[in-house]
Amino acid sequence: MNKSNLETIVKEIVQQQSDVMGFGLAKMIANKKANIEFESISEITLPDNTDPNLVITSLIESYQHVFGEPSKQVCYDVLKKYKSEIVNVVSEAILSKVQ
Amino acid sequence: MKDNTAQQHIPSQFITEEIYKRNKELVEERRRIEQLLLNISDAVFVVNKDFKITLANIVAKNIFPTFTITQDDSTDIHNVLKLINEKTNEPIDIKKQCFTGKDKEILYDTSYTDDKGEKKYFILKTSTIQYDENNSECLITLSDITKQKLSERAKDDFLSVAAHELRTPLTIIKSYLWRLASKGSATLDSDQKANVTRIQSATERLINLVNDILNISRFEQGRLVFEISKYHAEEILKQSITGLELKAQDNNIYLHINTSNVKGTNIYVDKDKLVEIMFNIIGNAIKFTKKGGITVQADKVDKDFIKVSVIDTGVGISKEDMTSLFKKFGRLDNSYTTVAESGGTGLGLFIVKMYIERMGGKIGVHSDGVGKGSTFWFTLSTKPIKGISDKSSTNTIVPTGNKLNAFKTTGIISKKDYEKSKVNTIV
Repeated sequence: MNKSNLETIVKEIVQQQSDVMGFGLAKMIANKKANIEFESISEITLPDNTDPNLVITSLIESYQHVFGEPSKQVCYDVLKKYKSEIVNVVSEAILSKVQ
Repeated sequence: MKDNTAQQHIPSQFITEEIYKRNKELVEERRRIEQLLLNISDAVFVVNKDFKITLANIVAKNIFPTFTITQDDSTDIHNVLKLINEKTNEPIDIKKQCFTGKDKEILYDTSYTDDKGEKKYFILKTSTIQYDENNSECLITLSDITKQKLSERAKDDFLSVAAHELRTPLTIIKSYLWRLASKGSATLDSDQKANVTRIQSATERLINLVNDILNISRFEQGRLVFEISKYHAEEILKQSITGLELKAQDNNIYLHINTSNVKGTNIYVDKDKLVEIMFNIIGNAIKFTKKGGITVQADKVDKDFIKVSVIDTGVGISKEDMTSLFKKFGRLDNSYTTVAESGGTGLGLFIVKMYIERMGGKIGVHSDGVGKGSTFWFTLSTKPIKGISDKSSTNTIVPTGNKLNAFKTTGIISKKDYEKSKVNTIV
């Protein structure tokens, strides 16, 4: 998966979480728990050679840790739209939830 | 005492998850509504009590592309929705359409001219939505009826041209018929004279119909000029029925007028239109009254209007017929009048209603039923009429043929009356 696609997926997960819980909380969790730093969602950029599986899993777990299963489902709903991009990238556990 | 501490404790994680779930449902619902709004074919605005736009759909943004919804809801609807009321030709004040206390307001004839000078026509509807005691918004929708309007205009233009073209040959027919009736009367036998009378009568009706159609067409195109002046109500009402007393007499019925209740009152009317109104209404009353007669009664309604009632002892009107009376070609069912008696163009009352409403009044009818007479009433303004400029034009309007009816009784008219009618029909 290229960096641009990964950034798109991350932006969308954060955006969806922001719609539900508010931008402030969504940003804080992504910053502190998943180590994704940004000021606005459109500016999210990831370092080169970021492990896609690591960043996606970290994001899902971060939100789930605070808001439980419902927020996990929101992440999966985003990933469903990018099935072809993530198929060889994310873990089987995640893949099984988005099939 | 039982220790209920364990039972009362609700895990915070559970609370957080439930709140998250609820928020998610609300977000999905909002998205659903936004999609619905997006796909409505009408332009939709929502404004708050300060008339700032809080929501607008894509159609609204396409029609009024110069505005954007700001984050702080500070765009005033008045800066965006610059609509004209097509009936009065005045700008529409949205304040008077929203938060009126009524659930809905509808304005049928509104228009908007964009930056390119292109005019669009809409039906404007507003609904006040009360969320709670202190919170309400107004939903404004604009249904685009431009296509229908332009199509109606094209039809009206065609009708106008067709009617105009018909008048010349009709006037020629009428003049030769008159010649036949007057100069040839010595040589025509009684059958032939009767036939000439029938043809004259039919020609008269055709001319009246053409004139009526033309007047309606001009009115609907906004080209009919109203010359409003102040008149003494008593005087002008009595003057307006001149000629009709004779007609009533010829039909062996009475025509009385009572204006004592409006003594000293002034009204604002177009004199010629008032004459036409009276000729139409009283002319109909004479037509449909075989015995007894007609009373014209004028009364004050309030400080702004007088009411004129034309009360007859004629054939009366059924409830079913009342609904179509003021429509184009609406007329009484001929089952209790002969075709010749009912006559008319079917446009007279429609034109009367048009005139009265344009002069700020209202019109109505009451009857207790068939055989029980009827009362036609209308109101006239005692105050200057808003929206009508008091100007005359060289583009004079052809009066309807009703004035001709006042002269014509038997179908063969005198040369003097014919000369008068000729002036009225050729433009």
